[in-house]
Amino acid sequence: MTESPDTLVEQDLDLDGMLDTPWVVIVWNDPVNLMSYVVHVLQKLFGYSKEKATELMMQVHEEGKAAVVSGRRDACETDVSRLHAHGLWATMQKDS
Amino acid sequence: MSMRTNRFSVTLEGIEAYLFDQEAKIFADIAGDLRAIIETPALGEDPVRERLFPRAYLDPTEETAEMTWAAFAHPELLESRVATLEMLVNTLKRLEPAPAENDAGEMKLVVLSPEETESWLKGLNDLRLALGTRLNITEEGQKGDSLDPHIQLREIYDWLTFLQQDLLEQVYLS
Repeated sequence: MTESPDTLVEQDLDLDGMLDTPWVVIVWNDPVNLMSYVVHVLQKLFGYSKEKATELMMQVHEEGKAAVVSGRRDACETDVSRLHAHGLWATMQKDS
Repeated sequence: MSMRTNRFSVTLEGIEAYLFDQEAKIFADIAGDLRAIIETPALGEDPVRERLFPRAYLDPTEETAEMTWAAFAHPELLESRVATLEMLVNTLKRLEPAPAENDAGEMKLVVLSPEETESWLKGLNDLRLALGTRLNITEEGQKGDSLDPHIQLREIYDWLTFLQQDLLEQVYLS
């Protein structure tokens, strides 16, 4: 699967936000969302490779949650909204 | 000649989707039901609404940030969900008999654009989240109980799961 131009731009924004990084976006395990769907959404929204998206999905599945992206507060709020729009259960918190 | 088992195919013209009339009717009905649920202001707590419009912050000391975020994000999210369901229902109105060589039997065919295909994927997921919440599905792979009064809802949920799985396999993960 190839990355679309807009996901590359979004990835640049995330990298930018990591310079002063205190927030992380957490995706929580959910009994309804299909594993293949979660992989698709993580690839689409964050431009992750299939391997990276699958690894994160498995972490959510096995450990109950995974930090999928980090950055500034406003960038994380936007990413949480985008995950909600795709039906994933996501929250954000200060990186500890 | 055997009838096709996959409900989606990638072709040069677009994504072909195949449904029986009865399935299309149920699909449009539950999409309309979900739209009504999310568009009607909630009286008290509604688990479906809470699942489709979750909090961004779990930390109670971030309540101000949560309110500010929700005031901006939730109307946008509602608009996006309604637009998705509307696009999905509109594609169902285009279902027509399929050419004999497509092995579709009594199933009808509609060709979806990439944007419409994405609406199907997101709409199927929203409908499964809503039904899954109503059915109180709490464990992955949980099987329905034949004595369950929600058996019909459970059948619809399983059918939506089959459709979404097939769409992902045929179109997105190929």
